[in-house]
Amino acid sequence: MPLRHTISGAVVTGLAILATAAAQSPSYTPGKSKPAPSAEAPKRPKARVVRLTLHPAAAPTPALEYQLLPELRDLKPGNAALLYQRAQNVEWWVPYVRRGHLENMGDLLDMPLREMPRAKVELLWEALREMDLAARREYCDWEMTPRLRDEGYALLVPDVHQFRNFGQMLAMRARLDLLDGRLDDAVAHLQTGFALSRHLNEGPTVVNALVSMAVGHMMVDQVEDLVQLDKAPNLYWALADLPRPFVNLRRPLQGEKVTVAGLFPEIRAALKDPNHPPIAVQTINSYLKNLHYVNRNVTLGDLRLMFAMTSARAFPSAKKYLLDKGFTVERIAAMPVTQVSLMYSLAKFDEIYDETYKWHNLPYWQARPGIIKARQQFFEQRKEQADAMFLPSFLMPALDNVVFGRARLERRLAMLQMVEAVRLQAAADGRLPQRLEDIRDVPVPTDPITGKAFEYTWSDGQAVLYAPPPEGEPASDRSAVRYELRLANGNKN
Amino acid sequence: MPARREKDLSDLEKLLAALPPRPTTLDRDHLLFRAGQASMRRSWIWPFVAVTMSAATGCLAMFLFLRPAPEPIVQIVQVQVPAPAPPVTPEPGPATQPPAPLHAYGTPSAMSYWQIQQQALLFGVENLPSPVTQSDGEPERRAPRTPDMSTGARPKMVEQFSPFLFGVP
Repeated sequence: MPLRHTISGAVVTGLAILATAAAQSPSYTPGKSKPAPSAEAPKRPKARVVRLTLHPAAAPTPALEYQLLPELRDLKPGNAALLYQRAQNVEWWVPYVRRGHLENMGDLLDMPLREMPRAKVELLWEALREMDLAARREYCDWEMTPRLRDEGYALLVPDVHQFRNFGQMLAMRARLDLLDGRLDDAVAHLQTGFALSRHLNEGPTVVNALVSMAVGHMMVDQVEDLVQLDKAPNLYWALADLPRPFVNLRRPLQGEKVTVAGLFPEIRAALKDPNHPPIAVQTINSYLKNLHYVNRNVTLGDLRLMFAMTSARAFPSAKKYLLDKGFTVERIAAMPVTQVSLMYSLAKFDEIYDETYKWHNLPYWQARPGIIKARQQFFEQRKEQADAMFLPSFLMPALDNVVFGRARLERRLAMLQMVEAVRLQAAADGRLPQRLEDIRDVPVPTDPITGKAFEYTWSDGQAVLYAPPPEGEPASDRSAVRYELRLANGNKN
Repeated sequence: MPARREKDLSDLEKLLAALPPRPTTLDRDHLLFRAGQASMRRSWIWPFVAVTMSAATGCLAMFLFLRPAPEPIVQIVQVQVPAPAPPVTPEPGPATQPPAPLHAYGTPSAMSYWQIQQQALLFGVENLPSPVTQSDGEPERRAPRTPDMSTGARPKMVEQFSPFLFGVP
């Protein structure tokens, strides 16, 4: 037993060290390495730096001639999920992956557009066709919620993160369009990518939301390349037309609650009904087995032992909680101690989860203080009542980071819209705007993370658009973004 | 001359008439059977089949009579035992059927949603194993390139599991 504990502890500690080291690593960029290293400007605050060379462009007529999501008139009846699953055909993907094309794709996407060796690009055209059709279906139903309800955390979802490969494939096809100057095709193909991102968001899991964001970032990377091309259409109104927030977290975050509820159905029913009969011990044991199945960091025997100990220690506070909720002393006495403890711990999980979840739909700059406070309270409660908090400790996902991930995508979309506003105004004025107020023809978007206007400066023919980190957070390539904008003709006015 | 001939014939007739009829040794039916038999090719197929079938029948008959007595069929019937009634007033409800074990839905090597969620939150979705690269059903466990803490990593792994691993909050 001590040896197992030592080994398990070492593994978890190793993971924590790895995670901590990674958190401090500045080298990560979500889409590609195109942004210049910020080390060149040591005096500036650390940020992800993106240098764009722009061509002025007025808004097209009609304004939404180019769109980044398929329009309603292009949609056909049917469920997109069926076609996405068709596109997963192993007959196409397995040979493709075995030849190393997929691994190459990631490296090729990381290259600057003009330096990418086009001859090395291989695409799965059959799969792309299915994706194009899927993106233009009226709805997308992954039919995962009932499965999640029944199977909970044990549900196998090998398909969800595979869709990230779809995103790479779609991004690469758009890149080829850009290289060949087929701008109309590029925009149409980007529509498929953005639609895939939205459709993935229909799934009821956090992983769905994360993959949705990842695909969204890939498409935004291509839009950054697109707007630098000569004769690139102005996408200000196309970006303004995208749904906001682009990734809706309501369903994925609620799906996590469905998953947890699926682990202890009787316990939740007992919580809601003070007259619910006591739950049999073997039923509670089966819940423990389920808990062990989803997390094998500890053995089932150890888990049982720890569960019994924590249940005994948590019983007094659990009993008090149930009495406050209207349960009678007799009812509580009739319940197994483990049931009382589980009921209390599940109630605490609901409470802690909702304390974070309730903020998700507010603008990030409004939600952030509340989310931080909720997380601090969670940590404090874990210190004060470690035994009663074992379920939240076991199962609570890091919702704050998921919400921040969504805000980062929102910020990139807003900054691109800002870039397009600059191009639009430059087309009218013949030069880059020198101040934010000089952008008069269209409204300038605010920073979704800070809730304030982006910082905009101009000097020596270069405009700088800066999005600072959230208040109280150090600047890093994830928390801050700096766009350096120049006109292609070298006009320094 | 004619008279002499007539006389010779008459003698011959007398001689012939003097011959006594003798029973023949030639069996007409047997002759015809032998003729038919000779016209056919001799084949050992039917005798062989007959002998083989007889032997097989004999063997099966032996097995039938010499086989051991059949094992008694044991049928296990699970009966739910109600939870023991506590001594206090509320009557416990009947024990509920335990839910199907979660592991019934997947093989130990397949990554459950929980595992995928953990990896995605810790290392980012770009470091999740790609199912199509699996050739033998074993999940590909590629070393993560660079963890993405921004997309939902759980920075407090030790804290989360410490109550279970080390007994401290």
